Amino acid sequence: MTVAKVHSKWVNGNLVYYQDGQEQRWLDVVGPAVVKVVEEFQFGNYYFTTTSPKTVQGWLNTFVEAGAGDHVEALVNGADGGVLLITTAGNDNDGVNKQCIGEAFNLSLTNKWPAYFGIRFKVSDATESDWVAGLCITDVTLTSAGTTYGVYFRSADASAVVSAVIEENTTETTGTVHTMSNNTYYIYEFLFDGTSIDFYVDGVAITQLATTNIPDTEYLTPSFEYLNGAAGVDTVNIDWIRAFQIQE
Amino acid sequence: MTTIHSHWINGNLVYYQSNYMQRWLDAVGPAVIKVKQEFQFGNYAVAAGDATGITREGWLLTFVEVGAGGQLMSLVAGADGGNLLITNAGNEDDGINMQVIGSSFNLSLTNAWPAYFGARFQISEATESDFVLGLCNTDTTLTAATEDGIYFRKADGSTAVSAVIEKTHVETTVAAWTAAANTWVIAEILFDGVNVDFYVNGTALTRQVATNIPNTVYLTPSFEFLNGSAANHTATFDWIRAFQLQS
Repeated sequence: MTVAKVHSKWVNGNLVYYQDGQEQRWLDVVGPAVVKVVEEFQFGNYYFTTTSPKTVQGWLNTFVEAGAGDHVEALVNGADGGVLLITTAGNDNDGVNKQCIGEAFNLSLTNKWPAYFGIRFKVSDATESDWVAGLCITDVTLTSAGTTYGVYFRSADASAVVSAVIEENTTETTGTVHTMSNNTYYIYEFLFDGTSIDFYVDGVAITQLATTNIPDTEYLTPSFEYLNGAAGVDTVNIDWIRAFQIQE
Repeated sequence: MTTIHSHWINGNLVYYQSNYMQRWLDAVGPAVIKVKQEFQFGNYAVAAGDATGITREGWLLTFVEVGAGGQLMSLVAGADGGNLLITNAGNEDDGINMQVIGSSFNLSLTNAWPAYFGARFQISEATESDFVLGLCNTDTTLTAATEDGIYFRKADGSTAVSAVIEKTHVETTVAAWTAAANTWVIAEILFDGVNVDFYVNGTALTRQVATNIPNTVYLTPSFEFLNGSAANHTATFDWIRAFQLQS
């Protein structure tokens, strides 16, 4: 008998579908006031090589391409599940900042609206790269200048260590979550239950950071930035990005 | 009365229309491929003079528009459920090839991942028109040259529509329906992991042998519509939906 791969539950009266064995992994949500971003990278015109900034499929893409080659993004034809391939230009700090247009995620501790963010991706250079993935304030330089508000995962160049970060007005609470390897897919997720934020890597709960610095005064949006940490063309493959918030 | 039901397929939750179990309306699971085009909202507009090779709402559009009028496409304002109207330029063999960008449907017989494709559409000219509709390999000249796919096909000079299973140009076909002008048809294809079944207006056609299932090439939702005579023929879509459960 096939085991159900999807289950559902009620969260604040809204219907949340989640993956079997991964209750934190929201797949879809139905309710009267659900904020929803689901990017499976299966279909759509994600292709671009043109001048920064470029808007595709609801994402604002700001890229740096000082080095050899152009910054290129395209769906991968013939990838099970659908995959977005990002190829950076060749200088140190070339790369891309991607943010969903429109800030709609609100981590107010008064409203206590549950929210989820998840991403499955891999990078070609786990050490010499900078990246941020999560919910952040609108900011086209998330890694280099430093985002000021957000809940996200982060890795800085010269290290493959990944940290979980909760940040409000540049004051951070952080915790190390794991060490990345090259060309290996990982699933990074966090769940805000209205009070606390739990961080997961590959389906395993890693840490619950103190909520002192929850960015509850600014709206956030699904965000991803990747920059080379050294001269060389890097690649990033993103299988999916999903983010939801139940705002009622 | 309930108009939708759900059932589990390989542990994924599939919603289907009441009395039409093959007609998937939505699917929820950890690895679902999903294309839902209801043609209710969005920028599908193509105007005369737009260059071939443009994209609209995730579709790559390739035109032949030698004749008068140019290739046109637009949503139909005020159509219940939403409609997409395609109007070809005026020469014979003018028309449009449209494919969803990104080939993600994998009919591997080893994976045996169930998949569905369906469309509700009509054409203005039953005899003098060519079309291909279904899941095909990436190809901008589908009626002339697609080589892998599961699809419905009609050639000009005839109103006979065939259901086709094709792998590297080798086909298995069966008669599907007789085209009539300006008449809605729901054409559907269901791959259960082993066999491919075709349905017309909710009725299953005779099952074909699975010999030529295209299990080595990724496929994508596809439609090509060409004039079979020198006139501005039209095609109208109510919806196109396609899903695959890849886990």
